[in-house]
Amino acid sequence: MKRKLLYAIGKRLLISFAILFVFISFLFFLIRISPGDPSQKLISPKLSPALHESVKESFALNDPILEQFYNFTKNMLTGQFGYSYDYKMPVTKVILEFLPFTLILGSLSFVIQLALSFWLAYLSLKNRGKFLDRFLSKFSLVMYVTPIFVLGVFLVFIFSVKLDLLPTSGISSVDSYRYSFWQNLGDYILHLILPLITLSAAGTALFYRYLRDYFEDVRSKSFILNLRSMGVSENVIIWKHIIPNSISPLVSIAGIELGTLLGGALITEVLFSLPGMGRLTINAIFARDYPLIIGCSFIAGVLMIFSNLLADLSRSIINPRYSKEFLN
Amino acid sequence: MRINYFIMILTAVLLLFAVRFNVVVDSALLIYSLVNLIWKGQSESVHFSFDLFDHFTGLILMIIIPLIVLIFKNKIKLLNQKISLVGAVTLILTFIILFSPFITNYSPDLQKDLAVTKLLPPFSKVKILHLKKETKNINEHAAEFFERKTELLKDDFGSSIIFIDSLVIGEPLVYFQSQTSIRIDVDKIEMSGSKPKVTTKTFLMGTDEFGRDIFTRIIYGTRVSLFVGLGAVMVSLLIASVLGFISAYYGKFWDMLFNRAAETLFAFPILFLIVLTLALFGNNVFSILFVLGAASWMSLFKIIHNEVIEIKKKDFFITAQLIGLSKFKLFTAEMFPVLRIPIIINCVLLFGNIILAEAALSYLGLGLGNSLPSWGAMIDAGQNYLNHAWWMITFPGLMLILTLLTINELGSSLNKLYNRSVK
Amino acid sequence: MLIKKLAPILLSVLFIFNSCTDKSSREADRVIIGIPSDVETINPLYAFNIAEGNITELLFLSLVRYEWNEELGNLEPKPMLAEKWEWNSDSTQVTFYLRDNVYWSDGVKFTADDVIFSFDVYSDPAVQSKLYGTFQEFYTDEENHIDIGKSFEITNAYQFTINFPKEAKPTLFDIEFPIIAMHSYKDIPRNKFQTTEINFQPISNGPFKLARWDRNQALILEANTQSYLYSPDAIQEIVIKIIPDYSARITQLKKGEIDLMEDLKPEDTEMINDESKLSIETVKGREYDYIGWNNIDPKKYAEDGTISPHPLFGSAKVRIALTKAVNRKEILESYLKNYGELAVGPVAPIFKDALNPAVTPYLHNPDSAKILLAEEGWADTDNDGILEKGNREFSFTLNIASGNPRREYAATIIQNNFKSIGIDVKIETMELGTFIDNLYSKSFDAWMIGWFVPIPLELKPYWYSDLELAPLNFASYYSKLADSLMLELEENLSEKDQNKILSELQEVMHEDEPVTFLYWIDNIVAYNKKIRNISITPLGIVHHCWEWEIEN
Repeated sequence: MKRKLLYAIGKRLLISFAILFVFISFLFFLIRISPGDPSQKLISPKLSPALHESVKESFALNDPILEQFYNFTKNMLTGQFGYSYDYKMPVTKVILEFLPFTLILGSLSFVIQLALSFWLAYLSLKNRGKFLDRFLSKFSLVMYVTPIFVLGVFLVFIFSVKLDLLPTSGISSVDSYRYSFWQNLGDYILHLILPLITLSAAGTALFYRYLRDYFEDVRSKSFILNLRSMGVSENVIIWKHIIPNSISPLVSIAGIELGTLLGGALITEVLFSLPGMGRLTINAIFARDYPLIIGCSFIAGVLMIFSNLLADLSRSIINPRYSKEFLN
Repeated sequence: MRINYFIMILTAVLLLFAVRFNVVVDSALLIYSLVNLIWKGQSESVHFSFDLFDHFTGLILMIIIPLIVLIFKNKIKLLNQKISLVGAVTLILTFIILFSPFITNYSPDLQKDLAVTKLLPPFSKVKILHLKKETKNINEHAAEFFERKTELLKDDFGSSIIFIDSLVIGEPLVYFQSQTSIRIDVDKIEMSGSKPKVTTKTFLMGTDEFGRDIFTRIIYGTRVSLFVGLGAVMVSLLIASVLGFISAYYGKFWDMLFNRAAETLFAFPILFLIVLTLALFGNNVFSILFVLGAASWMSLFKIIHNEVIEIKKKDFFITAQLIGLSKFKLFTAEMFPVLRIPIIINCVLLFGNIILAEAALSYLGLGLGNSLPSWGAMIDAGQNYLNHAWWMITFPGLMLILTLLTINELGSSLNKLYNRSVK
Repeated sequence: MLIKKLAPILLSVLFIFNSCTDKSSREADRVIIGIPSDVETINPLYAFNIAEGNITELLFLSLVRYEWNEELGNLEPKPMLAEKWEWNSDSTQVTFYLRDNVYWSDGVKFTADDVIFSFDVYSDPAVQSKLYGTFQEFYTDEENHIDIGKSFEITNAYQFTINFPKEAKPTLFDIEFPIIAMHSYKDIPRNKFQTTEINFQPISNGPFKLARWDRNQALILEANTQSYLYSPDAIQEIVIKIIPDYSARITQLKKGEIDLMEDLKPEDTEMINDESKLSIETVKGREYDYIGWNNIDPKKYAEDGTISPHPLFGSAKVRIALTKAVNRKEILESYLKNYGELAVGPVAPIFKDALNPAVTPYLHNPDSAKILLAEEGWADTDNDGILEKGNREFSFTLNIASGNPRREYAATIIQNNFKSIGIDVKIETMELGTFIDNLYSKSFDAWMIGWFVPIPLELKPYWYSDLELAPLNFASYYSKLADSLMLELEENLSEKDQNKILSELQEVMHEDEPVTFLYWIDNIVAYNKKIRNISITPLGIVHHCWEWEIEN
């Protein structure tokens, strides 16, 4: 069984990485055929054409595209992404500077989304049909459809500009490096409140709606009615029967959400000046920093593959029915 | 009282007809003189424009819709159903799309005299001076046509109007815009009696930073936003069905490939891919529509794929296959009816997501920009003016949220309906 | 409920954090500057953009520095690393006497070796510095690398001489760039300069040194107490904070989270003026916007490089008509709030002596524009509201780069201006990189972009007709007269003669109107009034920031 599981995981990873490679290669060609020239960064009378040529030469952009692709493949297989044009550092090093923050923000937001949506759905379930339930179900819809930047702008407007409670952007105060550990922690928390709300609102609403629907679905199943007629207490029904039966479909959606979050929360990062993968990627795209674009996409892809795998694994642990499906 | 769809549609058409009676009459006259011109064989001096077409179809629909509704009142069940909030909003949106030029008699791009019109709050009233029209020496019928055309189809640059704050009547006339005073010859101005003709324009929802009417832009923006949403849904539906059928029909390899690819793309931060493509290849309506569609085929694909596999196992399908129906027949006669409902539900939800994505793209500067009035672009412009003009973000924002709510409700009620019928 | 009990505790914790961070952040003698995007490097060799240039000039000193003379409208060289310098009679030799009290941040003394090493490195093809290829006045090899042996003579550690070739016309601008430390770079292979770790812990000699750099967050510079420019009364720390969102920058300025920012939108000035602790100043005349008209037919140029007049914009009369059709004043008033002035040509109004007062802007006059167009044969013969000449309708696409609200605003107004005289304009917004690519390939018909003008004035790279020599002549402007005048400017002339030629050139260009010059845009700077002794000149704001003081 264990060997079989490992084999299944290995096979799945292999296929996923093969597809990721095809996907990244597709990106490689997409970038190369697109207009724009990374060596022509700025138009200034002071830059001599000689410099332009020599920079282009050193980026190896004058080579035939197939040769570039050959080198690209070779580097990808050996795990080398080359030097970022803009940061003038190895791509892996640049990414390592930005990735931790994204991982922290993403997983924090993920935990918040899950916990909060679960709590709210539970409240809805307990107060079914009452005001709270109806309010939550309407409000969650509004939250889900509000564009993320509108929400962020309003939050900043209210909490930073009007009430002056929270900082507007960044992850730390400018002289945080002189702080003690606890001050720093507090500083981070203060800075992350608004971004976390902004980033988590839509996801929470979505999870909430799914959970509520699943709860509702399981609730109306005949075995619950049987239990209830047998006089089992409502709490036992909720905790022992409704919730465990509703969780597993959520897991795969949650896996996708986690993958997306870890890839970088683009708009939140731009809005709150956070140093995450989203902004790194977007800047790389605009600056045509080819190696960095490829590196960022690769990392996002890898994170996504693993979070999907994680989701499926946990799903099969929760519900053995899926493990069979997974093994095949 | 019970309001059903029948009553609502009829009332809406009648209301529009009553409120915009003059526009309706003008459109009718314009079309009459157009037909007249063509009849006389002078069609070369006619230039068909989208605006003309727009008024024309609007006019025809205004006659046809009540007729259809009246004739088929008893045939179509829906018409006699009690109207729900979702239904009402959907109906209103459809009306806005069909009758934009009748709902607002103003051009969405008209901007002029910024000193007067820039960033006006809702319900602002502005006075308008009218300039005398240039007469062109063309033959009589054509002249009539052109006169009606310029009367009805408002140009984007307001060549014959001047927005003013106040006016001092004299020789020459002096009018004020903001703090500056400007003189103008009386004989350039259209008069009513001995006084210059002055009308007022009310900006229901205020004006934006270009002095354009936000109400009008929202009305026309409905078309743009919904068009982008619909177009993108079509694109992804096309991709999804082609890939879905191939993978469900032709063997294991394609199945595995497309499924894994869909999974990979599904969770890949797809916004980056969209941004990358738009940044590198430019952003106009069609590229946005296409890219958004191409980036969201995965969920539809999954549904189609799963359903097709399910159907393939079913008895009726196997029978149909045994009878020897062609693949195309199999699809249209056997699969489509079963697939229809889940596809529609998913398309409705996708539609909402795409409208939302277009708004997000606008924030990143890769949306439709200023060239077309889209809600996303308007909201983006509004957030820049949050401190100066709350109305710029509020109205399009409300419109977007209301529409998305409706779409989501529509999706979930369809879902319920489907689940019930499946059971 | 657990949450309800916890909420007050959480809130109070937040307030404690809030209060304790607040107190310690009120550091005296510090200025926080908000900028929209992080710099890529602080190595002067690769400081391509303006922000990078400004920062590197605080870290690394040059031989001479320039001060702006407001009255004359030109630059005056002042001693910096060089205490004085002497030209020989035919200006083929210049001798520098260096300051002997300058130390690198690791304690090593600055000498003439550093200067010569810098010349060597800046011109080395392997290094790919920002100045590579610009040392044409020196003795160089075929790869544009300066011949060090031939060019430099070191007398002692604080005195050296540069020899120029006979035919060269060197000026002090050829030797004005930040000097780097020889001892920190000499062991690194030249082609590894771009990526070496030293770039992130630079050894510098300026009035400030790098204290900390959190990528995409903040860059902190602290005063270099060893520097001869150091003063204990002046600011001790500069924080350059990266805030990409414009509204967030404005908010932080109002809240006092940052002390200074540039490039304010004119519409925000009123709000800033209402804040008693903030003050507004402008940097004038460094930047203008223009609508570019492709003077040549892009299709034919793309096919085989032939130069033939553009079917729409090939004639000067049409271009003048287009300029007259644009209501620049309305944009200036409604968007720029008069933070700017109408432009007549590429010579900035700050160069007071070079400006030709006889050349005045074309005023908004749609009727006269129509007449001019009619003279060129453009008329609305088929009454569809759009002008035509033969089968060709007057319709084109105006391209703009995304991300610049001012140009997007202007484009919308201009589109309507053109429509009202019967010209059909579509606006296409594209991402900057793609846009620039198209500019270089000259494939646009019309576009809108701006130039940040260099000081001292340079015109040849922008307007000379040889498209190889003038890659920035995107409009492919061609005028024999203008060409000869620009060539004359290259001679070593007295300032008076130079201004005379410039005057004439402005007249020629005004008659040709190669592009529609729109307006000069003020860079609006807002800063906290607690900063004293701040001087805002066309050279920028942080130019003299080691003299700023904080009023406590």
